[in-house]
Order: sequence, then C-alpha cells, then structure tokens
Amino acid sequence: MNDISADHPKLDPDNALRSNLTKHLFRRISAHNSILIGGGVLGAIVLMALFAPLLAPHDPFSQDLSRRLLPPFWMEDNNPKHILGTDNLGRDYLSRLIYGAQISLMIGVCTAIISGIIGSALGITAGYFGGRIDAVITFIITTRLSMPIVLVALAVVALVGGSLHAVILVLGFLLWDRYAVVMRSATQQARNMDYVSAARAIGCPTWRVVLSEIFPNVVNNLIVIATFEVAHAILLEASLSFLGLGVQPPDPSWGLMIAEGKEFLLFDPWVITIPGIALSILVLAVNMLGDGIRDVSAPENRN
Amino acid sequence: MLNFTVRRIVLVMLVALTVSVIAFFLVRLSGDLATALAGEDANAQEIADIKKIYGLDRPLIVQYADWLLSALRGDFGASLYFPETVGELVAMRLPTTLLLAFSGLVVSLLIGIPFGVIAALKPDSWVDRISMSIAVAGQAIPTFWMGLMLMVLFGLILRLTPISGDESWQHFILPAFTLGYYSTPPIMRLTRSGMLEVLSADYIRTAYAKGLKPLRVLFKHALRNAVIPVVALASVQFGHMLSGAIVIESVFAMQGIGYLAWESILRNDIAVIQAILLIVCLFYVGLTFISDLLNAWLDPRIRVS
Amino acid sequence: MTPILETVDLECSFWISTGMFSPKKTLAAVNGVSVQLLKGQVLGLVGESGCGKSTLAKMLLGLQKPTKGNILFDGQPFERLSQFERAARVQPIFQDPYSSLNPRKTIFEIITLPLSVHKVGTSRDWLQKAREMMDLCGLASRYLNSYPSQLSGGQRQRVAIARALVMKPEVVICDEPTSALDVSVQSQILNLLMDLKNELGLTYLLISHNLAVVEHLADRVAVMYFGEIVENEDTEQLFNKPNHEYTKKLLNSVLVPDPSRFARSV
Repeated sequence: MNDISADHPKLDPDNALRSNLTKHLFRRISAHNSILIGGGVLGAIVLMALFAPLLAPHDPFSQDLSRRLLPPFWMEDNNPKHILGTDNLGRDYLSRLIYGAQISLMIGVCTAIISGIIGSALGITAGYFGGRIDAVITFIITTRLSMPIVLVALAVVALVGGSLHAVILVLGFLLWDRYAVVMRSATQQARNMDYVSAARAIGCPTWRVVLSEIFPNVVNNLIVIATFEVAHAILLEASLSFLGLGVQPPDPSWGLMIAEGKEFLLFDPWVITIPGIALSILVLAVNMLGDGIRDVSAPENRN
Repeated sequence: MLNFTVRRIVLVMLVALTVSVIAFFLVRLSGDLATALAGEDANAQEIADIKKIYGLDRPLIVQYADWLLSALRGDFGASLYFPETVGELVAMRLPTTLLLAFSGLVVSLLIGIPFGVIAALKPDSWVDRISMSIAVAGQAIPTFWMGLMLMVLFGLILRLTPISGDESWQHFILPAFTLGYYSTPPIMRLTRSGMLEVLSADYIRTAYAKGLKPLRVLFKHALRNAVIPVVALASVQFGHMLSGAIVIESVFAMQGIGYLAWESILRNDIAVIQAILLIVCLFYVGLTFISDLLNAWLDPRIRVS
Repeated sequence: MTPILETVDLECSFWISTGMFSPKKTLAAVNGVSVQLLKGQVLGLVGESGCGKSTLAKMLLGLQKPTKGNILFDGQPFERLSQFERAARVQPIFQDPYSSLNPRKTIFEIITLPLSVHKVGTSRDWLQKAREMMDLCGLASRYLNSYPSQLSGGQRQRVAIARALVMKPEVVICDEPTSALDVSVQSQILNLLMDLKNELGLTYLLISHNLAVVEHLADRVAVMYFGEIVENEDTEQLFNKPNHEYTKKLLNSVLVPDPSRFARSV
C-alpha cells in the first residue's frame, strides 16, 4: 500500500517529472530555434533594406522599355545583368525587391508603434481604473472589433489618398485592438498584486504606479503582440497596395508589384511569384520571431 | 442567462448604432457628394441645386438620421453608376459573398476539425507538430497572392478549375479554399485544446471504462462537447470571411459585395460604400453576438462578469 | 494614554449588482468598527477570511475610502491628511512577499521607492539608507542589486519590512505577515518584528488567523465577525475568558498546544 505508483506507472512522480522536463526542454529549444531562424532572416532583410542603395544593382525607378519582362536567372533567355529579370516597364526586379523591403518594414514597424501606443494606453487605462472607464473602453474595443479592417482601411485610404504615410496612419489607428485586449487583462492581473497596493500606500501618484509598477510587468506582452502586428500590418499593406489603394506607383511595394504583374500572370507567372515569396518569407520570419519570444517569455501560454 | 442575453442585446444595439455613425461620417467626409452627383465640370449654381434636391444642404445630423431611417427600411439611396438602387444592388450581390464565405467556412472546418482531433489524440506527436507548423506557416502567405498562385497552378497549368468568375460551383473551389485556409489554424487550435480537455475529463474515462468502443466515445461523447466552442469561433470567423471576401472577390473577379465595395471605393460611389460598410458591420456584430451567447451558454462564469 | 490610531464607527459597504432588473444590494464588509491602537502596543485582529479584516486594513492605509465613520490619527481626522502624510505615518506589510515586491525592480529600488516618491534626500543618501535598513532587518547588503526572484520567502519579507520602515512610520499594519512563509521562517520574522517594534517604538495592527501568534505578540485582541468587532479585550483576558460565542468557537477550533487550557475549556 505504500507504493501506489507501482500500479500506475503514469503517476510515478519521477517519470512524470522527467517527461515534463523533456517536453519543457523541447519547447525551449524549439522556441530558441524559431527566435534564431526568424530573427536571423529578419535581420538579413533589415540589413538589405538599410543598405539598399549599396546592394541594389540598378536604380529601382529607371525604366528601359526595350528590356521589358526579361526572365529571371533560372529561365532561358535571361540577362545576367538582371538576375531576377525586369518588370513590364523594364525596371530591374531585384533592385525593386530590395527597395520594397524598406516599404514593408517601415509600414510594419511604424504601424506597430502607433497602434501599440494607442492600444496599450487604452488597455492599461481600462485595466487599471476599471469601473466606468473600463466599460467605456471595452465598448470602444467592441466597436472597433465589429468593423472589418480591410473595408474600413480601403474606404479611409480612398478618403485621404493612397500613400505610404496614409497607409501607416490608417493601419496604426485600426490595428490597436489586440494590444488593448491583452494589455487590459494583463493590467487587471498586475493591479491586484500587493506591490501595487504597497506603492499606493507609500503615496505614489497614479501615473507613477502605472508607469513604474504596472508597465514593466506587462511590457512582455507588448513585445510579443508587436511582432505579430508588424506581420499583420505588412500583409494588410500588401493587400491594400494590391487593390490599388495603398502605396502608389512608382514606389516598389511588394503588394503593388504583384498587382502590376497580375496582367502578365498568364505567360510570365514569375512576375508575381517573386514578390509573393519575398512577402511570405518576411512575414514568416516575423511570426517565427514572435512565436519564439512568446514561448521563451511564457512557455505555459503556448496553447 | 436571460439577464445576460438582455444586457448583450443592449450592448449590440449600442455598438451597431455607433458603427452606423462611423459608416456614415467616414464615407461622407471622403468626398463632396454634390460635386460627385453633378459631375466634374458642374458650375456652382448646378451644385447648389443638386444640394437642394438631395437635401445635402441640411445639417449632417439630420442627414444621418434620414439616412439611417431609410436604411432601416431597406432604402439605401441611389448609386452613381448603376441603374439599380443601392438596395437592389446589394441584394443582387450579397448571395455570392454569403456563399463564398460559407464555403470558405466549410473548408476551414473540414481541415481544422479533423486535424485538431488527430493532434489532440496524439499531442506533441509529429502529426500534431507538422499540421500546426504548416497551418501557422500558411498564415504568412498573403491571401491575394495565394489566390493568384492557386489560379496559376490549378486554372492555368493543370486546367482543373475555372480561372475566375462565379457562374458555377466549380468557380467557388479556389476562392473558398483561399479564404478558408486562413481560418484553419484558430479552428485547429481550439479543437485540439477542447479535445485535450474533454478527453481528460472523468466522464470520458468512465465511458472507456464501461467498455464503449473508442471511436464511439470519441465521436459521441468527446467531439460533441469539444465542438461547441468551435461553432462559436466559426461564427466569428464567418464575419472575418465576409470582410476577407473583398480581396478574394477582386482576385477571382466574383461579383459579390466585396467586389462591389472595391469598385465603388475606386469610383467614390458613396451611397454604395455606406450601405456595404453598414451591412458588413451589422453581420459582424450579429455573428459576434451569437458567438458570445454560445460561449456564455457553455460557460456560466462568463454570464456573471 | 491616547490612541495613536483610532476608528470611530467605521463602515465600508460595496454595491453588488445581482442583475439588471433586481434592486442593487449593499454588502457591508466593515460595519461600525471602533478600535484603538495605543502607542507602542500591538493590537491583534482575528477573524475568519472574508470577515472584513483586509478591508479595514485598506481603509487604515488610505487605499479604500470608508463609506461612513472616521479614522483619527493622533486625534486628527485622517482624511485631512494627504496620502503623502498618511504614508509617512502608516505603512503596510503584506501577507505574500511573492506578490508584494515588484519582480522587475532591484531590492535597492524597492526599499528606496518611498524615499524617491517623497523626495527625501539624494540618491547617495538612499544607498546609505538602504544599507542601514537592510542591516536593521537582517539582510546582507550584497542583495542590494538582486531581484526579488533571487531571494527566499523569508528574505523577501525582510525586504518588505525594510520598505515599510524606511520612512520611519509610527504605525505598521501587518496583514498576515507570516502566513505565506515556511514554519521555520515564521518565528524569525515575528522576532524581527518584535525587535523592531521595541527598538523603533512602533505600533502594530497585527492581522492574523493564527491565534497562537496573536496570543504571543498582541497586547489586546479584537475579534471580527461578519464586519463587526464582537469582542475587544486584553489578550490574556480574551484567551482565558472569552465572552462572545464566536470567540469561543474560534478558540475551540484550533488545536491548543497548552494542555492546561484545553483542560479548562472542557
């Protein structure tokens, strides 16, 4: 009767601990891997965007109508001067791709910062003060969630006119909902901790309690959401530009490049394949980085 | 539960009202309706006349109230480009979009639920990891590009499906897959975690202990309980698909309200944009409401808070 | 002797909404409580969880507004003091040292937070002060730049005590100061609290459900039951001759290590 675990191998604490540890370890390792891979690829793309003027073999805007739609290096009749070929206006595709990374990254990061500021301000305010303030902010969040992003973004971009700045502002003012929801519940949790009561009992003014006691303890979530929102914004910009209501020609937005290549889809499908792959790789890298950070900072939240 | 429902209905009405205000003012700020109606080269007198005729010289609040009251009766005004009224236009185009969103939902459930169940039966196995990794990696692919690539592959190279349009059910295969694919990971994840929870519950162990066949236990007892939250999620996803349809429809040239919205935005056809914005938002609100009710019915704790 | 901190008919009630159509109800967490803390003494406050002990503590700390009644500090109404002035006089020590220390701050930052909020001295003084307080509370100063997660439960509670005392308050509200700690550590912390009390002339409100602790440390004991004080007596008196039915039940519900008393109560 002393050794219950003998009959139930699954209840053997040692065994359970070991399998748990293996699982935990595996998650840690896979989390670190996805940070390494995602971060590495993202880092390479960031460097590419930063050093675009040095890396790009041609001017991304200079047209040469005599060299229209030259195929990339893996196809016949390629021109070694244009490794990834040229577009329908004879512009070097590789150069446009390299400069395009600037646009995607710029949109992703700026949008995530704007929406992050709006969303965390709302979420932390709602979570910290509760009561009526919380009710009002929750209502704002609910209203925002019941508006379809693409449709509203299209309508607003049409209103202000498509441009890089317009897209950043519009997406920034639309994509704050996830920050708000997560920061609200994280703040609700943190504000019930005794260290918040202790700070208030010391006479800490509210702004200081929020900034120095609450914020450092919820900022983890912010970083994780921010990476996902960067990816989200990059994809949305591509969609908007594809629909003609985002970044305007002749800027080399990857989404716009796909839109411009659409009419050549029949005979030159590589025109849309290349920017599409670039977009997917960038977004995948950002997502992997986000997944990795989330798993490392809070492995229990994985599922 | 009644209490919760009533409170939710009040909230939903308020949200719907707010959204209608946003839909009206957002679009009205986008352009001068009178100039659009009168044409580019109209003179000031003509524009002033147009303003009088359409009541555009009244205060915006009055115009909003007027618009909302007519909209509630199904009268959304006239389009600038189509001979039909906006109400007729939307009624004509809505079925295509609903069908597309519905088939997208079916696709995501057909992929998401089975893989979620398999993943839950063998958690942390290779099936679990690989199906989840593929699903997550797929999220990185832009919808419109995925649609175009499928079009190239199945429509142009393999010639298995029509390339674009919405005339037959075959036309819906590629768009439905493109749309549905993006809702697969959340459905898979929720099915997996729901099944994991249910499978470890006492009554399932009892069912096994009674000697019931494993498959019978799985389908009759476990899946039935795990699937209700998935239905709640599916209702929210259906809303996302209505909104996602705008991109998909323009890729595949399907004449739904998404395509209509896009055309109208490009042409500044204000009455149509307002109507579609309002209708899609109302669908969203309604579907979220259904999902909330389902979740509250499942989990009494939600009702109280 | 005049009480240093006193409550007069203190009341705190919450609105509870039971539904949209049913009338709102009030729940009195604290109902007409009058207690006195005498300078240099320990008032024990006992009662089961949910009886309003913590709400009372919150009101004394200025974290919760009373709905009725008064708190007097040295005979002065408490609400006339700003949160700043209150903070300099009354400080808390919380139950759970895992929740009461901000995990993102170093021990130095935690202990000197009151100084920085109240803008006392310069940062050089703070370092000196932090070392002094740590020394006083039995913490090695090498932990100055550690984070709470690197400390044991007992050490954390010492940090919490150091933070509470750094402004030299007159009254300390100890809300179950040892119940989250290992039994072996509990007595060390209690001894520390008593030493500090004697050394600095502090007044304690000791909230606890551990009657043995209260019996040993408190000069007077107030028994709280459903938001009201049902008995308020000298410790010896209360433990030997409980008057109220609830107090008797409370005393009987614990295993008494002293067999002579057990014999008496039977």
